[in-house]
Amino acid sequence: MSDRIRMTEYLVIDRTTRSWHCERCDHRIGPATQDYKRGLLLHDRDPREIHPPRFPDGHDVAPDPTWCRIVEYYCPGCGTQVEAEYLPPGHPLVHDIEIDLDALEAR
Amino acid sequence: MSTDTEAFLNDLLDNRPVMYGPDPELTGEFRLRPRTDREDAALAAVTDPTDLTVGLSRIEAVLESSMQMLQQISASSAAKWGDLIIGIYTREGDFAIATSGGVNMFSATTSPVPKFINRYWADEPTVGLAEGDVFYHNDANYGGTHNPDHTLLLPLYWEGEHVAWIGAVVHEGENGASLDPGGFAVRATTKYGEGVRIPPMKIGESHTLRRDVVNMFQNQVRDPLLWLTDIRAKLAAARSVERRMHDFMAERSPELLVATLRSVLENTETEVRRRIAAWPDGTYRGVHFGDTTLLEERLFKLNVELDKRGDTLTVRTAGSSPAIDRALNTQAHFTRAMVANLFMNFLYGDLPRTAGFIAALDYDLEPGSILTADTEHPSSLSLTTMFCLNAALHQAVTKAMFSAPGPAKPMAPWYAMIPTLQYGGLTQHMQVTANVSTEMNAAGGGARCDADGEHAAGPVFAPVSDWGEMETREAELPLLGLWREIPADNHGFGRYRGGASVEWAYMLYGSQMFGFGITSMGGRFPVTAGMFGGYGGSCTPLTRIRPDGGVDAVRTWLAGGAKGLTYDGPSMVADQPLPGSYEVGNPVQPADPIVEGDIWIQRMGGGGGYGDPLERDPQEAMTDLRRGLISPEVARAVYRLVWDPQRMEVDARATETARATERAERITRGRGYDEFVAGWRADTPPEHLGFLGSWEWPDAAG
Repeated sequence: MSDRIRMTEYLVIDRTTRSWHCERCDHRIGPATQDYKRGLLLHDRDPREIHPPRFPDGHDVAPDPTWCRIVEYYCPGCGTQVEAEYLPPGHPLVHDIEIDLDALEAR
Repeated sequence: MSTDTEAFLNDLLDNRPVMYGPDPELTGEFRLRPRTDREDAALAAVTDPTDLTVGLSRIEAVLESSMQMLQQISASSAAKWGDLIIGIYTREGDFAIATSGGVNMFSATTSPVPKFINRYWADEPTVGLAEGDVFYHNDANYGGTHNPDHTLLLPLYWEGEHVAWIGAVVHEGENGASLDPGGFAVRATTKYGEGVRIPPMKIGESHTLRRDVVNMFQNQVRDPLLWLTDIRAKLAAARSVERRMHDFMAERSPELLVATLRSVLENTETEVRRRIAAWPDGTYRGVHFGDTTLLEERLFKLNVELDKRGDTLTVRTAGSSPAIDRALNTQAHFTRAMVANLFMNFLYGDLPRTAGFIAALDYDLEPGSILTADTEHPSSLSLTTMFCLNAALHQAVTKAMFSAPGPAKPMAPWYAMIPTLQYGGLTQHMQVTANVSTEMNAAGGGARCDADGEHAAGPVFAPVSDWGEMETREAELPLLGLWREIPADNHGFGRYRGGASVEWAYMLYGSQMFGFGITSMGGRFPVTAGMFGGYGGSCTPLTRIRPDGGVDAVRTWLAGGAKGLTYDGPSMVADQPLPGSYEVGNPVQPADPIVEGDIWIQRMGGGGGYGDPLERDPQEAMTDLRRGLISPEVARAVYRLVWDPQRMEVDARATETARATERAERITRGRGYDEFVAGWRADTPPEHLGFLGSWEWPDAAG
């Protein structure tokens, strides 16, 4: 029986070691008792680099970079982009997943 | 004080309130009513469980055919393309069985309406309840979603016994708002500017409408023909269900009907709980933002926290922005219905649409927020806030359910917003009209875990719907449709891309007395998020062109071959082939009279992308480029595609090298968490955002 459970597209929890791993390269991201994002690499992306502007100025199909940033999270092992979070500049990052490890172990 | 006087005063104080206002106990109710003795007896009378399945299938078939009939005979453009539902409630008022198409989340939010009638009117001597009575409702404070959604109810009787309720709900496009035609009162700052508010009330007896009551409604709105036609249409559809339910009870039994309704409710709740139990226990969060209050550009926040333990899933919304004096507030019962919408349309579409979905969950909704407005707040555009909530909710739920086995497939958020025309005025046929256009039904679908999203697939609230033909619009309205095109880069990028939507352009043509408006969001902050490393959708600004020389200049231009017409908003703004003023702005404009010849260009948004874009099959990305779904800039910057521009063929080896380089660069440019947060985190929101509510999120790690 596998001790590993795939929790998201790119995240695995090893129930034996209670740690987060990258699903693609198996890099150990960190203890599963804490936010997996603490073990990733982060980058503040100007949204215009992803959504190219089309209008001369003002409102655009590109998000306004003074209103919206994209926080990208990369696996330090393989560089896979694990999350891309759209936030206003400076807003607290989202602690999106807190697994009850005892319950997970008992599954 | 005489005995008579004392009795009179006691009666006045105890039994005769000044007004029967919304009952918070009823609108706050989301659990199923306890089984009644009648339901127990009916269930006991069914000895073969197969009969319950037969009962469900037959009732669903009746509802589907009646809904199709209602689509055909209704005047509401929204109803024609799927913004409606028909269903049956238990006698107690729980919405038991709904059509699978249409806006099936009405099944999660209209139960308070028959419950109100049962509680306040059934035994009220001046109202009463009898076979053939016709009841009507649109005031969202009493249940439902927002005031444009009108509910007609018929009590279903059998041999003198009230056994169930039949409901027909349609989105009506005009509601008599003081400033804004088309049902969406974008400029309302109190509920008193939002038009007609009908609490649950009797509007007819013996299956016959009281014309004086309907006339009073008609007198409040800009399109009295729409109201008359559609009240009659809803009654006809409900009567069709009534007749066929009479056939059902005569052929089988009223017990089977009552037992079927009850079992569907209970089974749906049980099954949803059983599936949730397979999700890993834990806490899951999502956040999303809206970028306008409809009257000014301000950022507001929707927080979602899911607490999942065993078969209990609690939805919390603490930290969401406070309710304000704008029409985008929503009541708590609509918030619960939006949760149910996600479950019934995007997770467990194999289950019947019933109030069992909301009954299966728990809710801890912070009072006073934009998601839990009180009855004095305006709310006719509550749906815009609900769409922003959907993005936050979708992300949190997808993370919670990802590892569980079952029929639900992880996917990225659907595009959820309504940048579509609301309009009013005099048509080219000299008829007064006011309504909304159904381009809203052309939303891009979210990318799935194993497939791209569907283009122009349907709105998040009614995935089985249509957006109609441009020519239909032109025939009924003073409009000339210039184009509908899928624009490049309109969707979310990812391993699987979101579905794109369309950009449309309409010109006012054939009327001097007509107004347009758009009530949407996404001018600065996109409304669609991505999933698991996929990107969200782009923004969707509104472009307005006022040609010099008006409609005559456009006519001349078109007759001369429309030189410079590119069928694309941004290049039209860049090239300005028609002399005139070009304005690009927020997709929120109140519906005011415009000038014949004015051209409005607007795009619906695309669905979110799923997964790291560097994992997208290079051939698929190349196909996107060839088809114009993505621009060369996106192909290079996002997908790291390398191709031969002459032959338009991908260079797979060079692409792999470019992607490997980008992965290495990510590792180089990425910062550790604490270092990043130190440079990122702001104690207060940037002032120019006009941020509403709490910036902090105590449970956020950052």
